[in-house]
Amino acid sequence: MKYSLKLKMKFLIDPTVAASRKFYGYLKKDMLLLIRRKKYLYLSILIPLIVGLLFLFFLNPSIDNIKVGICDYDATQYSRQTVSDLRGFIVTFLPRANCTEQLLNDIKIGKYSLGLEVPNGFSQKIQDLEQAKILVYYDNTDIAFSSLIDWKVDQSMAAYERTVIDKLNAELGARVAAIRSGVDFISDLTRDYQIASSRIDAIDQDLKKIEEIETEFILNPIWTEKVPVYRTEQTKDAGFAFIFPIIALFIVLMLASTSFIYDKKSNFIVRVKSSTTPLIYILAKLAFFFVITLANFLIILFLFIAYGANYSYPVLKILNLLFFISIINTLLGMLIGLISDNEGIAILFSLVISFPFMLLSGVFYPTQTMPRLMQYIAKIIPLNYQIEYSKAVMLFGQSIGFKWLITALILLILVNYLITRKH
Amino acid sequence: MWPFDFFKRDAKKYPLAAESVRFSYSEQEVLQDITLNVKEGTITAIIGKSGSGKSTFLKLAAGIIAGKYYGKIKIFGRSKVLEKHSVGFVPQEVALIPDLTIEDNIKIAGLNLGIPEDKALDKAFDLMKLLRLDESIKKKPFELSGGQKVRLNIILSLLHNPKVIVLDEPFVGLDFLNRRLLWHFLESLKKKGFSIILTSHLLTETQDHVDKLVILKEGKVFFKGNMDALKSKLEIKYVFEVRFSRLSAENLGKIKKFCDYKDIKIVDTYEKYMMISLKNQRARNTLTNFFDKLKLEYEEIGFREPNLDEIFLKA
Repeated sequence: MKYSLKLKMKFLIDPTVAASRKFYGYLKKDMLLLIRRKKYLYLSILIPLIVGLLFLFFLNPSIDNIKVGICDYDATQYSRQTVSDLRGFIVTFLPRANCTEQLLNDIKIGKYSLGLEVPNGFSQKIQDLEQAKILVYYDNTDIAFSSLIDWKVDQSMAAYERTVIDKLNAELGARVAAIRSGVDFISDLTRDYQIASSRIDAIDQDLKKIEEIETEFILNPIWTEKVPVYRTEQTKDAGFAFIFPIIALFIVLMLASTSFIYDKKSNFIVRVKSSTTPLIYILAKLAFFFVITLANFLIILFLFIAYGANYSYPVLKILNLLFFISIINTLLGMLIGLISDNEGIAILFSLVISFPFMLLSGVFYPTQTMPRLMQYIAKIIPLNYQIEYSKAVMLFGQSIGFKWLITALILLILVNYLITRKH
Repeated sequence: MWPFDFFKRDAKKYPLAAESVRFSYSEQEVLQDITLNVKEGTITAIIGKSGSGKSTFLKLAAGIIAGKYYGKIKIFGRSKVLEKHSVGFVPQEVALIPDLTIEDNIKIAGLNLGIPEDKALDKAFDLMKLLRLDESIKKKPFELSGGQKVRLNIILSLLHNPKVIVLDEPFVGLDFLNRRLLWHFLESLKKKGFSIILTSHLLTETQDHVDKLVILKEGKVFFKGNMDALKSKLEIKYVFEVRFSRLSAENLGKIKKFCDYKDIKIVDTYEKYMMISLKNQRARNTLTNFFDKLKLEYEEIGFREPNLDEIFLKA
């Protein structure tokens, strides 16, 4: 035998040990750079912290402090009470002189979010049981707030409308009672006349029906009851499934692309290529950004738990989810780094990709109401899968499977090819 | 015994051998039929004009460019992919991580080459002594001078003791003393049996230190051999330089015609200056007689052996 067993083993072990050292070296380099280049360290910690806090504690749509300016041209006790009692609004009554003009200006400069104009004769119309009108002025260039106007104003008016209808109902009841007493009187007089008596009985039945009409029926003849398919508390937990993938996407795209640009600019890529195939380098990057994604995950999870959210923590499924999110995002980030010339362009590309992804993710606008084509596009966006999978794992403890590995493999081959051939 | 024979390195083979290598960037053929062997314990220099393909060849040999090429490049008779650990590639642009200390740069470069951090540091200290780089390893690259950066760049590529050292323009950014130091360093490595292949623009300096010259011209090997062989090939034994007191266009035309007739090559002309390559001393006398006939006066006149720059001009 030409070679001893020891020598044969050496041929197998040496490359493995060398490859492990290379992997460790690349990982160590990125860790050291993250610590030394503090802005990137702060970014990867602060972004999830700030966005998580904003989402949980400051962007809560149930908080009511909308400033409303009011022009009360009716100026009756009734009209004043109507607008003063608006729920969730901070109301300010403006002087009547040039009131509408002043109100419109104030809305334009942002002094008030809304303006209400109560026309002259408003109270009289209500008392006469005629439909009364209130004009609502709003800034229609404020897209997000505009979409709130319809339900927010109606919701605020609901309590007052109920009072009005209760009053109407009571008045109807009183008037019907008066008619009934008249009808009863006539009934007594015509007791011996059978035909007249039966007609009066019919009238009596009609009046009974009117008396039995409920306020709720007048207010809302058909009651639609919304029944959530998940327990109500899960709404609180669900925010995590949106916030975590969005932050992970943004941070990893930005850091992975700029990190690759850094390696290109410092010629570290040349050293890598002179000693090994880029595959070990790519795998080390994947490991590094797994750690970053895990850190983001833990920061956001901590915030949600502090807020009172509750999750089931299936550890292996969470790990699979984190691998999926970190690997896909890192490879996308490296692709951005490959096509960008400098860090500025890479960050710009990351933003250009992140924003449409976010808009089509269903967090800000429901994808169900988008045009069909956009719905198809939304379906193939990785972020949507990441949100869907985060929900599955964190809310319901389901497994996401391993189909994502096919996409990851295609991206890995592409990145490896481009680094080998193009740089 | 297979498969272990496959891993056996054939020491008898050339440390670096290229056979009929052709390589193209998009449509442009950068290397055409390059064949050359680097012997063990020698220094080989590839020279050529910018764009002649010398850096491309080195990068292809060191595996930095991994595009499809035709022909064979072998390291000790094996695929260059399998023998990457035997090659130390020194890139032209310094490859230092600016935000890490020299110590971290050494450790990372060592790990990148597959060697432990402590061994990388030990080796780096040895090389730093040889290259007289006595800076604190706690410094960052930006605190080093240009020459120090170049020397550190070389050190980081040699931490794994590669048998074949490939240097792409290693003298760029070095002053005369540092260039001499680097030449001494490369010659000491050569004596220890290392095989060195480099590219350089400093032709005159190169001629004194290399065993073999390879001149690339438009992607082809124009010449390979030593200086004497090059002189013979180009028939340039001597250089005759002359600066006339006055040289009219008419006289310049006459000289050119005369040289053509006598098969003498004018290497360079600029205003009243003229450099002419000569095969022998007799040709000098022929020329000076002709200048006397034209009644030309000289400010300066010289006759000597050519250096590599002048040979390169002729090539």
